[in-house]
Amino acid sequence: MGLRLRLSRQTLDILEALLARPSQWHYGYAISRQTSIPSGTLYPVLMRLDKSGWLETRWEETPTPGRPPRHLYRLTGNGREWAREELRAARQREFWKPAVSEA
Amino acid sequence: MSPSQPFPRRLAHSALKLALRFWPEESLEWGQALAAELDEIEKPLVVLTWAFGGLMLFTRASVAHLWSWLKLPAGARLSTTSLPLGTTPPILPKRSRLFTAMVLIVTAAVLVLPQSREAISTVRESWTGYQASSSDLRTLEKLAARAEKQKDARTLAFVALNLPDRERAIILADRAVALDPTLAWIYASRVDSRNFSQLTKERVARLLTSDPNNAFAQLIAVQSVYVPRYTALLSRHTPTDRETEAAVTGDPDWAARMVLAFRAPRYDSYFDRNWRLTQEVWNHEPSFSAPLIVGSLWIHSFPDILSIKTYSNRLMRSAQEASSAGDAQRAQSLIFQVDAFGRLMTDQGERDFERLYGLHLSEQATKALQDLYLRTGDSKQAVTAANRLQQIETQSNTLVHSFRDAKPSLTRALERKAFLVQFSAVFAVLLALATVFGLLALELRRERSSKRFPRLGQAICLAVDWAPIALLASFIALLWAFQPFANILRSARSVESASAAWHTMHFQGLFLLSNILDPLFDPMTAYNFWLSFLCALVALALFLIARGFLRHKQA
Repeated sequence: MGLRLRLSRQTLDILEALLARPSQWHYGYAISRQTSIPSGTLYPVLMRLDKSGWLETRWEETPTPGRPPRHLYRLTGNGREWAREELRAARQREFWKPAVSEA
Repeated sequence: MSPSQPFPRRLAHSALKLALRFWPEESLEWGQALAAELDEIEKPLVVLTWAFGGLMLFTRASVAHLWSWLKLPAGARLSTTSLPLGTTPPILPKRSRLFTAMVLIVTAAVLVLPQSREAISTVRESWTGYQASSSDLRTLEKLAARAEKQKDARTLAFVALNLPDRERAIILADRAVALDPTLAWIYASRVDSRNFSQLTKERVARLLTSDPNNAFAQLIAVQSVYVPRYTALLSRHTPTDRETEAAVTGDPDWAARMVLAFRAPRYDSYFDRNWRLTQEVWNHEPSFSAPLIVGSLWIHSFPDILSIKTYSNRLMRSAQEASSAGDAQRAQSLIFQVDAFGRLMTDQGERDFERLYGLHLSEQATKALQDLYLRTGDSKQAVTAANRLQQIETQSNTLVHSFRDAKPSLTRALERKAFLVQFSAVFAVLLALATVFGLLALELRRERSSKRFPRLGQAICLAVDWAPIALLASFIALLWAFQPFANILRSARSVESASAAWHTMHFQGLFLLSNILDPLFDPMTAYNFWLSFLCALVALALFLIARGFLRHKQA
């Protein structure tokens, strides 16, 4: 796909969170809570994943009354394969330890 | 968001709402996504940190937006949508905004260098003939205030000499003299025909007390009496020679004062003293502008030629009468007085015209002596007088030619540089205007206007592409060409005498910078310029009419 990504520990954490339930749509705040990554770091990573084509996004169709619609995220099919590959490689390099799925 | 919500939540909402208003279009969706999560967060502190992260994201998005915008040429818009089919894109410059901005930043960096500031202020002041500007007057007032606080008599004296406001200047002069009575010479340096009335008896007394053996001070004392009366006479009608002499010699003390002046052992017109005072203050104030320094060279009084002439004529007439009466010794003694004063002016005068006038007096006296010796049959003395006349002539010629001979090579080189300085400066002003107007026209233009005037659009793009680079180049050229003038200003700090400042071309350089523009304001040049301009306009009009006619015919 598109751009080459710099895979920081935070990006790997986010990929891991998205891969935990790969077919499900995730909210931004939920990912933040899961990974303890602040919004100022989370959204730039999501933007880069989206730009690279690994992430698909959509707006909530039936938002809670009185609240704005929320944005939802999940990895694309190729994105999932790529993410699994990258996580495995990072683990082998001992650059990154799983925090969510294998904890 | 209701007012009943806690303050941190309201603050977070307001901050993100404000950020969303200015959020760049290309990432607005992400800002909205981040803001939409706020309502899901329960803890107030987390709400705040979430919003803070949003503001960080906004900053990053804005910087990225600005960067992308800068990479486009001036007038281009960052738009995600493409132009509708059949629409011609607007004409744009070739260079990016970033390039233009970088060139302008480098130009600004060059401009803030002290050398550039000195060059620009000097050139700007040369356009007004080194007239003191309002900022110069403010500098003088600041100096005066500081000097009064510190009881600094010399700085007060400098301000008193240079301040155009006569009333304020005389007050400051009085303060300076009160602090240091040896500065009473500033009364003499400051006076001219318009403010002799300020030279009261008390001030004259202070001047004579501080410098009793100076012929120039005695002459100033003489002038203080008759100049106001003579000026009043001049305002009524042009006085005859007899009226002038009556006005000059009307003071009962006039003859006594002139005797003192002609017998004084010294002649000091305070030109050097004034220059040394200027240098002293200038060395403490390095940011002094050129007008203040150049102007101080113009502040000096002229010797009272009218009194000198009247008194020397009177002495010569008396000598002639004595000679006719057979009293050669008295005649000789009277002529000697004139010659002695002439020699004093020649030897101690600080300015060329004083030396020349001194030589003129000596020449007059020596001719009279030669006649006297020939009449009395003293041929030996007559030959000595003839030799002396020869010497005087040589001295006069040397003095007249010394200035002209010193000029050519150095002046020509400086003239070329002065021309380049002025050309670069004028060019820089035009280029700066072209850059500003070009950028404004491109950034604020409407689609319709660029399509209606495509030629104008191309010209504007050309200006925006090249004017900033040319502007930088002209500033560098200006700085390079100004170098000799900067050196002149620098070395002027150490020139010992005011006369040397003139003779060694130190200030000629600055005057050249101003004088090089004179032909532009010469009526004949102006006439030729406007005539050429009119001819060019007529030729252009004829060309446009002919082209329109041919096109119409072809169509």
